[in-house]
Amino acid sequence: MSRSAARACRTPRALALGLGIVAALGSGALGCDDAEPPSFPAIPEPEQALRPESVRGVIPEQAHVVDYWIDARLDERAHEIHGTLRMAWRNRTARSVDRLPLHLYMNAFRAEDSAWMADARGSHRGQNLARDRWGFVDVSRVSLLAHNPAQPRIVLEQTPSQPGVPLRFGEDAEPSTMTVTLPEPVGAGESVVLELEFTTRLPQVFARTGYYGDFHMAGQWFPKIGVLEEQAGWQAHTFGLFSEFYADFGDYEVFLDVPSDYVVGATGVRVGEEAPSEGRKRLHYRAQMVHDFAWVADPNFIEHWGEYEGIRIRQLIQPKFVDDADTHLEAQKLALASMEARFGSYPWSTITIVHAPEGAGGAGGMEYPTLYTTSNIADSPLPAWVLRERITGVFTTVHEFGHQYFQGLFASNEHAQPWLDEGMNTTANQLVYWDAYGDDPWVVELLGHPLTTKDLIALSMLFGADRDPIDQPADRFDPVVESYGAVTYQKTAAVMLTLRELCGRAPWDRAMARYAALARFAHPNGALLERVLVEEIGDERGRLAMVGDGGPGTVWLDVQDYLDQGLRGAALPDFRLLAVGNRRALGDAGWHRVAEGEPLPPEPPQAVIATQRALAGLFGYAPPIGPSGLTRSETPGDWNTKVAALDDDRVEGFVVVGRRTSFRMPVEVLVEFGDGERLTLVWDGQADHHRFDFPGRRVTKAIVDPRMQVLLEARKLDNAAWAKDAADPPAEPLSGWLGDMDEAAALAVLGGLGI
Amino acid sequence: MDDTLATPLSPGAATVPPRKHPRRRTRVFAALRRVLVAPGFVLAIWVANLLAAKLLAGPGRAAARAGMRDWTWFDDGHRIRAVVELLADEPAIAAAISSSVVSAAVVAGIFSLLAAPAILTRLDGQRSLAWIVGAVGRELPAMLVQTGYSLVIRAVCLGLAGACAAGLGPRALPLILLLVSFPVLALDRARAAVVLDDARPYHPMTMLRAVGHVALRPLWWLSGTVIETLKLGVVIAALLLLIEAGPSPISIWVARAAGLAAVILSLWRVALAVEDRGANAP
Ligand SMILES: [Zn+2]
Repeated sequence: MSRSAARACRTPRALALGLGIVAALGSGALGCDDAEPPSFPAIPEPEQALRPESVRGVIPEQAHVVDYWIDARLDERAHEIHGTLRMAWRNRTARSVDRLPLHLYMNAFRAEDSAWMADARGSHRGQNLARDRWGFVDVSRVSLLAHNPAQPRIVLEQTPSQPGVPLRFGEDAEPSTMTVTLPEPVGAGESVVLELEFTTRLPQVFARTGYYGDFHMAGQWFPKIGVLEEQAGWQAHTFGLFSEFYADFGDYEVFLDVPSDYVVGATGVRVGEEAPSEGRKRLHYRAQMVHDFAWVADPNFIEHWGEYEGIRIRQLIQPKFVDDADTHLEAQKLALASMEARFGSYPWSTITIVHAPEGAGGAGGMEYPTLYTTSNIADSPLPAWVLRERITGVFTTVHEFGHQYFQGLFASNEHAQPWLDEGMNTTANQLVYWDAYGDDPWVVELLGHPLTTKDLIALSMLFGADRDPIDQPADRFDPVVESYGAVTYQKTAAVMLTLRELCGRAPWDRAMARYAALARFAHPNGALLERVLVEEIGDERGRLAMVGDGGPGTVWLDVQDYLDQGLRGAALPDFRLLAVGNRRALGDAGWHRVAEGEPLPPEPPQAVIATQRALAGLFGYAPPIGPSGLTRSETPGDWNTKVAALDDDRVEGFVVVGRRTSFRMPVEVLVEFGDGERLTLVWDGQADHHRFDFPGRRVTKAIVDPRMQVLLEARKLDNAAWAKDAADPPAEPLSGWLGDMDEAAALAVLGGLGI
Repeated sequence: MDDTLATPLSPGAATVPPRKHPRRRTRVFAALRRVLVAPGFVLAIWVANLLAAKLLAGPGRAAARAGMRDWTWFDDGHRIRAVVELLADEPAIAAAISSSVVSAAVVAGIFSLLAAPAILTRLDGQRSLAWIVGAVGRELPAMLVQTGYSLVIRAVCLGLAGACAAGLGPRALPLILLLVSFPVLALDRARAAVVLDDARPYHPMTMLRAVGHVALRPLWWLSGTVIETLKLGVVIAALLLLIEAGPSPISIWVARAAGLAAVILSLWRVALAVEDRGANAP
């Protein structure tokens, strides 16, 4: 057969093989993409926005400050919302006010030089504002419908016969707030009903809000009144990069006019639906005792349903990620179980979980009352035995739900004390994991090696956590310093969880339950939390005995002092094992003066003395005879033996622990002895360093903070060591392991590519 | 082991005119036998690999050791955290490790250029050390040129593989492996043609013929791909095992054993080209 003939024979076989492989791969790849989007059995809309009083408890009337009635129409082509808003506001303070500040949050995205954008320079959490896709809110009319009506609620809900009294209003110098001037002051206990006309243009999804294709996330979309505080007056901060929100509780009746094929999710429950015109629908939502109202609309959403103790869990999820819905639902239920047990009942009847589409990640990970946006679970091509994780997507769900308590239910001032929401929520999120999966569970597991909740919190201390104190207003954080996230979220969690570990967990848990009970619908501040912690964890002087019963040698943790350092100092604790070793135990060899009143040792006979002197002179050593006032103890036979070779009872072990920063707090030190016994001591951490001595015992190793109680301490590699004089300390395992990895990787490359 | 197993092997291959092989089928296991009858040669390459890896990993190992100073990490339940802290605070360690891996790739590339003629002549049955070493000197320029041509083929194949990966995702893995192995097999064939069959050493046609040669022998292409995949699997598995086992004196020896397996598999792949010698002679 000629060569060309041979080739001709072979070609079809090769072709067939190649085509076969391509076809097999192609059928696998394309086979499952055009399936119908799945649908899930729906759970009916709850009739009430709040759970029954027997479950959620009584809501204090004092908390009910402002009610809204909003009629809004979405122009899905222009990405604009046109709305009429009525607001009934009660003055619950003893003050009298003649102006009302309103937030125009969307104006933060109106221009490059807004306070928000100036700090952000066009970028938020790694996402950029799309070119010329600005957002804004414009108020065209404000009128006063009533001043101190008998029933503000009725005025709110009835279409007025009169247009109302036009009011003077204008944006402030920084356009994220505006001021409405009233013709006469609103006195203590009085109320006003206002009507506003507004247009909101959404930015392309950026910093929590906006549109992306058909997806519309309306957050911070309507003009919203500030909070009047008894002591501090009006609280209506400029919207800044790191400042989130602060508002009063009340009821919302919201009508949303949207295209009829859009799937809508919103704060509260849907109580009505009508079709005002061809291709449109008008949905009526009701929310009670919330401080914000957000909604989302997208024709592509698939609805997924779940239920937990009468709470309806609704997910609006993109078709591509619908398989993750059960994982998010599971996380949501675990979060509810943990948080209801720790922080009291969830008061509302519904929770909606929104999944933003791909490309609209800027809307992901944000909380609103009874609705939050989560993020997607990472799609890892690695098998579970290589990599397991329960953090992407899942943690966002746990975190954003956690805000239903710290932001939604407690509603602290997020501008003044962002840590009280974000940081305490991050703390609670870790405990959701603990409650669900056991103490300090893994969040990532790489080839069987866990990275735990404590590891993750402690490691984030490496990245900017010591650049700022925790307890400061949002606008004091400089974005260029890059400390806000690590300080506000993880450092707060580290301060709290370290305290929880130090006090034995139960007192801290008690304190948090008490704080939660006091904080419900109450706008708590950090001082309240600190007071409760000090009272529950400390004794009458606010101290906790770490070791001892109050007598000498007691090591105290001063709870307030710890909180002062943790919350209002920038420094992080950092301990170091300065020395571990052994030295010869102290004996009494040599000459000592005979004490006053002690009998002098018997004088040897003169002949013996003479002989000893002669012998000493002959061999050149000092004679064992001294002046009459001194007595000599024998020098032990092992005088010249190296410490490592001495009997264990002839050595004195020592451990020296040092403190490398200004943060002073107690810490455990574990010491292991030659006989295998282990002893845990506590150093009060006050001095620069401290030495523990163990006469008659040989120390083999020591570990500072062996139980990883101090989550605030990121640097733990310098916390443990073998005793310096240990006979054969094994090679350092961690660096040896890294060296082996390096060698194996080099070998793999050489073997894989070398020939 | 002696040569009784290696009946088709001829001594002094380069001095004897290449035989026209009557067969056209790829003899996969005959190729393996060519490797197994040269245990000393295999061991020599393996030991060279071990030494090179040990040397290359020296700075990374020393940097890690120095980074720990006098302290020791005892907590087996929090190793990842400790590694992250160590790498974050001592960036020299990550730099040393990554540079050792890059150096290993460079050394591997140089070794593959230098050793190819020696490997081909030894697998062809030549046992004279002087001859084997001489082949390295004689053929180096041709190896350089043919390797240069193969880079073009490699770029094309990697581009195609990338397109497959982008289009089909992980399901395209078999196709990707076939595409990635192809230029390696073609280079084996081109080198074998130059060293054993006196093909034109600098002419691009030598490489193009090799390309056609491999493309038309699905059994070769497939078995070469399987061997390359096995090799990749073995070394990656050893690395993963070492990480999974944690600090242990044994697991580095598992990695070293995997290195031996990789050497044998590589030689087997090259031996496929030797088995086919003469089929593509000028
Ligand atoms: Zn948050």
